[in-house]
Amino acid sequence: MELTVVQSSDAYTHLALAGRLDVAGEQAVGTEFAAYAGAGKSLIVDLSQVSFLASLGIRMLFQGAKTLFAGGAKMVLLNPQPLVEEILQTAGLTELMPITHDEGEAQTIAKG
Amino acid sequence: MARVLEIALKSDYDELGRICISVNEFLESHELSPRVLYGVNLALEEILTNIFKYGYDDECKDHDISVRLEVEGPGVSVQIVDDGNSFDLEKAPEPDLSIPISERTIGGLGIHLVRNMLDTINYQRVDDKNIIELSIKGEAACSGKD
Repeated sequence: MELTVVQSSDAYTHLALAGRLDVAGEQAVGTEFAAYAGAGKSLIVDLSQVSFLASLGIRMLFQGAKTLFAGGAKMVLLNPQPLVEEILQTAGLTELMPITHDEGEAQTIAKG
Repeated sequence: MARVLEIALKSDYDELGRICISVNEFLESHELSPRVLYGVNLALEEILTNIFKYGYDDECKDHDISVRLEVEGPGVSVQIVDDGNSFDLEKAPEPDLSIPISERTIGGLGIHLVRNMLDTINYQRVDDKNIIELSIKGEAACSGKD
């Protein structure tokens, strides 16, 4: 599991995750991801290279989204693969971490 | 080509990496849909972590757990047997989606995801062991006929 910064602007940070966001994946990137969420700037999280997402990974994303929401910022999930998106929809948490396949829309949401 | 994979493991998170590799090598040797592969991975990840976290009152990581996968046509059946505390997956409560989302915790989410992606889930308690059986059906290959 890898976490990279795609772009950082005054309004948001655009991150990309790659790999399996399972127990090992969460252990690999969880602390770093929480630090970006804790910085208080809205996040665009590119999930296009995430091949597997389970509840621990959703917990990581959701805790970040809650932290951002409490500070008036937002998280938006960009380009999840179909099965990852199905899992996210089933989790029922997209109100706080919306999903889009349009980078321009993601930027608009992140800018609030 | 073997249609059955049996794995013995200990109640230790460190086992998950090895299990993941063995399971996916086995699954990818069969012509299964991405959804079936995802469902089996999801079931194993969620149920095994649930057993590790809640199944035992001691800190011992040496409890025996067995996993059996069987390819059945386009689908896969999964059996997980452990000697931990009784836990009826079928009766586990659903997450409370009525709580405002900003206040929500996500306890029970893993089981909720498994219930939604897998087709059947059965639980038995036999001889102080939990026996969980799950299946995901998959789609039959197209015959080319209407």
